[in-house]
Amino acid sequence: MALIIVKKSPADKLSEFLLKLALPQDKVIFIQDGVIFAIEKNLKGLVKEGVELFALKEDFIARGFEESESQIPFIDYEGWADLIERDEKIIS
Amino acid sequence: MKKVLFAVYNSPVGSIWINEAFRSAFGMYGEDLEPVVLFVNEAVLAVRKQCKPEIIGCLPLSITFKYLEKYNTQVYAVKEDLEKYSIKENEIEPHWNLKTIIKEELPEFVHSFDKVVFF
Repeated sequence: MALIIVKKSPADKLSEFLLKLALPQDKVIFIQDGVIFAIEKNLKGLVKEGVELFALKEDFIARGFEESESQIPFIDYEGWADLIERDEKIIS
Repeated sequence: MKKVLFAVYNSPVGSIWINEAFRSAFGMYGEDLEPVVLFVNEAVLAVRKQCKPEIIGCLPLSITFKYLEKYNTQVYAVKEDLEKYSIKENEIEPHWNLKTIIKEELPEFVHSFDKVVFF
């Protein structure tokens, strides 16, 4: 079980590469320009079944998106810090 | 001992990231951590003997070689990416002591490390 942090936009090839590394029970958190993934309708189709997806709310809102546009749950800074503390493996 | 993977995906020419990855990796030995380096995408271009970033004023890759030998640091490259750039086995600089890994095995490989940092 790992926490995968995606910082780059969907246009950056590293982002898709990171999503392909995710295994069931991993958590993926989108931060910085990575939050643009949250508006993708087919986002869940990009990862294996059983991978949990979150977007950092502050980064999403800061880019002018409405909360309702996100296809995945939000997480705040506190929640993100909790995830980092909880997961031993971090892929970033 | 904890294991850390430094995965580089940027080209070796025009960016500092390969040398930065190795600088970080070699620093791990002082912390009793085991570093491994992985080349993916354009970073695999670094393994060719003829790859010389110093031609355009970047740091030479060869500055890492004496430390690779000293610490016996493992270096991997993605097989499909080597094939994409037609890098043949006999063209690979022997100092890398390169191991290859196929894309299909990458998720399990990456999860075998405690921390993974992309450059």
